[in-house]
Amino acid sequence: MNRILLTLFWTVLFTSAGYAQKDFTLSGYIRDASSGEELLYATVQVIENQTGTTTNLYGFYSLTLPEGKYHLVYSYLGYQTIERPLNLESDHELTILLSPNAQVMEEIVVTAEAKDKNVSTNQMSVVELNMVEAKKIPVIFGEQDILKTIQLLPGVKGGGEGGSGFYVRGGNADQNLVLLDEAPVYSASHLLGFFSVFNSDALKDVKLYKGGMPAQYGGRASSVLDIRMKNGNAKKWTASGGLGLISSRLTVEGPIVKDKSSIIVSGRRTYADLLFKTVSNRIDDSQLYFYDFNIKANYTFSDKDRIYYSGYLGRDVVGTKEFGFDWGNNTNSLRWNHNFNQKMFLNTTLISSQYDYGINANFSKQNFDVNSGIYDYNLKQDYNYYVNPNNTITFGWNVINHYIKPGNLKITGELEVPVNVKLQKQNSLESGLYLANDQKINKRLSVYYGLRMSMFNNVGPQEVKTYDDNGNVISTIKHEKNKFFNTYSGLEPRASATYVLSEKSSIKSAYNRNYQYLHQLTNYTSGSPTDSWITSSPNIKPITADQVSIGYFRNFNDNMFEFSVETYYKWLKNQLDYKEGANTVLNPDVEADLLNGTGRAYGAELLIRKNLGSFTGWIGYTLSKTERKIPGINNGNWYSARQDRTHDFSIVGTYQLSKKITLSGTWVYSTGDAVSFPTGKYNIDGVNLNLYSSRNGYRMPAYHRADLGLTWVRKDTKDRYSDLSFSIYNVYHRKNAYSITFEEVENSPGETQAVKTSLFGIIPSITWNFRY
Amino acid sequence: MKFIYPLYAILLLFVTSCTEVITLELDTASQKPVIDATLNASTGICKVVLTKTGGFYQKTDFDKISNAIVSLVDGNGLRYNLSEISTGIYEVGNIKVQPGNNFTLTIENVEGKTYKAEALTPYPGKAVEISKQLFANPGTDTLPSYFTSLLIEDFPEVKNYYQVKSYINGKFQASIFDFTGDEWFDGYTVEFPSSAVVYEGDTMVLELISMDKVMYQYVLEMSENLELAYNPKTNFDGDVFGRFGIFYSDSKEIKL
Repeated sequence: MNRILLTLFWTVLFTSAGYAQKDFTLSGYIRDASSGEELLYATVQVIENQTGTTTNLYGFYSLTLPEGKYHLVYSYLGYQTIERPLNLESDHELTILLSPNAQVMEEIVVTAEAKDKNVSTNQMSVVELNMVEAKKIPVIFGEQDILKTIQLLPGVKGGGEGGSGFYVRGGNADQNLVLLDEAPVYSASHLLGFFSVFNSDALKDVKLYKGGMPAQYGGRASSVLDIRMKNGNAKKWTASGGLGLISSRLTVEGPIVKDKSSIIVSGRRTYADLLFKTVSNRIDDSQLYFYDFNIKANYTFSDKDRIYYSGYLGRDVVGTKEFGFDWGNNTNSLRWNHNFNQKMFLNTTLISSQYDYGINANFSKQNFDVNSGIYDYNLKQDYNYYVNPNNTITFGWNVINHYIKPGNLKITGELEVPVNVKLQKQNSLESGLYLANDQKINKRLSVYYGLRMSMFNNVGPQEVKTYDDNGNVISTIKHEKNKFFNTYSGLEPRASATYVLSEKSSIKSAYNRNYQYLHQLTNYTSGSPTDSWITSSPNIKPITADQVSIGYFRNFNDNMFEFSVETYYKWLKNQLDYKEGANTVLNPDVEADLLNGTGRAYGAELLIRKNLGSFTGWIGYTLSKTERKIPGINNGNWYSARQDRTHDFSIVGTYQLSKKITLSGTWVYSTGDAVSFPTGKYNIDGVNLNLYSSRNGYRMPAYHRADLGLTWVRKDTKDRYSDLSFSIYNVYHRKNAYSITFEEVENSPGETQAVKTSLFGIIPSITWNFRY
Repeated sequence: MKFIYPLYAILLLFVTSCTEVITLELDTASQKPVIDATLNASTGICKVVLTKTGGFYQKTDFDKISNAIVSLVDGNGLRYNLSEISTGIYEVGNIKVQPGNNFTLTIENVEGKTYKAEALTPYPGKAVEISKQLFANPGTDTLPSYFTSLLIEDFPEVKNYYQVKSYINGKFQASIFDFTGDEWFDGYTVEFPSSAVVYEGDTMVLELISMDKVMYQYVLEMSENLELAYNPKTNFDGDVFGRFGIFYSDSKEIKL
């Protein structure tokens, strides 16, 4: 390890020394010209020496070059590319404003980001969503949904209709780190997975790392979904929103102090319950809605210092006056950006995040209240050091306090029961320290190498039990308050390399190791808001994931088409699952009901994308295998994970018919989920039971569906915009299987039949969107 | 403790779901013996039903297993021999049962093999009364519907396990599993909801089954048989399906 660090140090120093005497630094921000929003991952290219950089997560860039005259090209997907001459004779600060293409449509026909960026950047296994493009894709009920959109890309699979979560390269849903302005979001979906919690109006940037994640990210085994909220328009006050069939949304943003401070407030609420009440008297007094509330404000103290506050509150409410069930997330991020100088950038963030649920049931003599939650408090610092055009060093640290209340039950009312159940709380610290360098070796070869060291500590007060093979308690050790009684730690190497074969093609590879110390316990394949989180402990080891990937990237027709093929292999250790017959409700000995095994996933992902012209879109295909091997399940043999879908295919297209009309369409196809079907039956106590021979040995029917959309711009001036967005979900009314169950044939006792349930047929919708 | 499920039922009312019967080609596992054995401590009757597993699409006319030798022995060595009262059904009565008693059931000559299981007599809880609550108002062509709850008086200071079986107009609701341990109300009376929805005019019987941990675990696993797709584990030694359990029974009735 020391040898690696020494090599890193000398390599960086050596490449710096060559520029030491007459180098100057150009730095600044790249912003949206109309709103002042920083643009993340925007590209700066130096034409003369074919070098360049990208803005960081806060829109900042820094480029150190030898004294001289240059031409710089600034670009960002969906924005006008501009070129600026530069006479670099001293350190220089330059903030660039880029105009969205919509405003320059008449002059510029095509949109572009940096030419051949996907070929030349040292990054693979990454999905970037442009919010402008994403909003054109048709969606169910007209509700824009970034989680549904990323599932249209190779390597990402959805939980199915009605299923929460998404799966990345064979990982489980809880192995995705979902970040909203750096705060983890523990439950990213509403209404049992029909909608994501992310209100697209409040978002600026979405990036998903399927592998090769940079060293600053840690804590989850399979992927990182990094979502950034808008800062708010720093130039003028605007209001935007939409009225849809089942929800409405409103966003207000503007400058508090022009060009110094801005704020954005965004809200969304569904009202499906109100509509259903008018057509069904079976659900009197019932509630079924969710709401989201986003707020973000920032203040620029000087060229060197800026602070941001971001908050999110979202909640689902289901129930009647007798039964109630609500759940939701609340996140807060307070960030401070500081430029020490033109080469060193620091972001410090203080974060809180919580997810909790409550259930209440009011019977005639007793009232039941159950609640549970996970609460995070996180402090982190991330440094970017732009050593020279060939080396950018990132380093930093973070400490998270995870505090989990697994479950409380209280019974009150006429027949009060004073035996309140309180499962013991779990307190722990998760910390990380990382150092990485993004290095350009020469014009063809770029490498990224980094190391993350993560550590996890269980902290008292807590009782730790040991169990025998039958789940009986053998011993109990009581740990005092604030005592660090159990520690796991590990090194997580992260590396990637890109070799440019020609201007138009490259090969890339990546390796990453990730440790995961938090585990979501779900006993049902579709997930549930009551799925609880537990931490690693003396009885539960952290999940370890190792992934290697290699890919070939090629552009055609002067960047009009992108093609890529990536292959990957992932190993998972200490994969958790419930024992069969586990008691999952308010169980103080749930650790005794868990099994520990391994997993493997491998596959190939193809993507052909058309980026330019009036017709844009992509075709994606994934061929993959995802398996688990857990002692106690399937006789200890390998079996297909539920989300193992051999073929996954998607076509997405958007066509700009005229200035006012945009057409869009998608078609998806995937192999059915792996499931267990019975191979016989028998009767116990008057109940017919299914007999199973193997785990997940059958397949659900294949899933396929087409959606169409049309956006009709009604008004588009500098100050006003409105459109009508029509969409048809499931155009050909495919009755995709949500579940297949087995039930007794009516009027033929004892005879069993298979019944397929489909959730959504064809669903047309209309949404009015506006901006003032 | 599964009173969360009615909430999911409410949620699903909003979804435009549709169902259709489909044909699935399923393999057929080789036949294995199935032992459904219980000792009803309230009546002192031990009953054993011996069958074989069947194909998934066949009716429940499962093959019976005759000529087995079935015996029950209590903790004091007192032996009861069960008689085959009809094909595959074995029974004996007048068994003296007290909470805390152990019994061992032995079944010989099941296709040449012998199976044995032990069970513990539980302490009985008491069914006090049934209460009802309106679930939904009547529609133009429907009657008012209700949820019902059974007041359970727990036997104090011992670990108890309960199942509440629902019977609507005399028909056992086999797909409903309501069960709980008493860890959250030890020694108290608790209002335990049935997952069944009943309509005005129906007669509802809620039967409280008090059982030991082994039988409770089997009920729990039966409840997950469809959703989680696994076979409940038997407490018999050997490669069979089924279980031997001891229970007390108490019930209440309500006319809605």
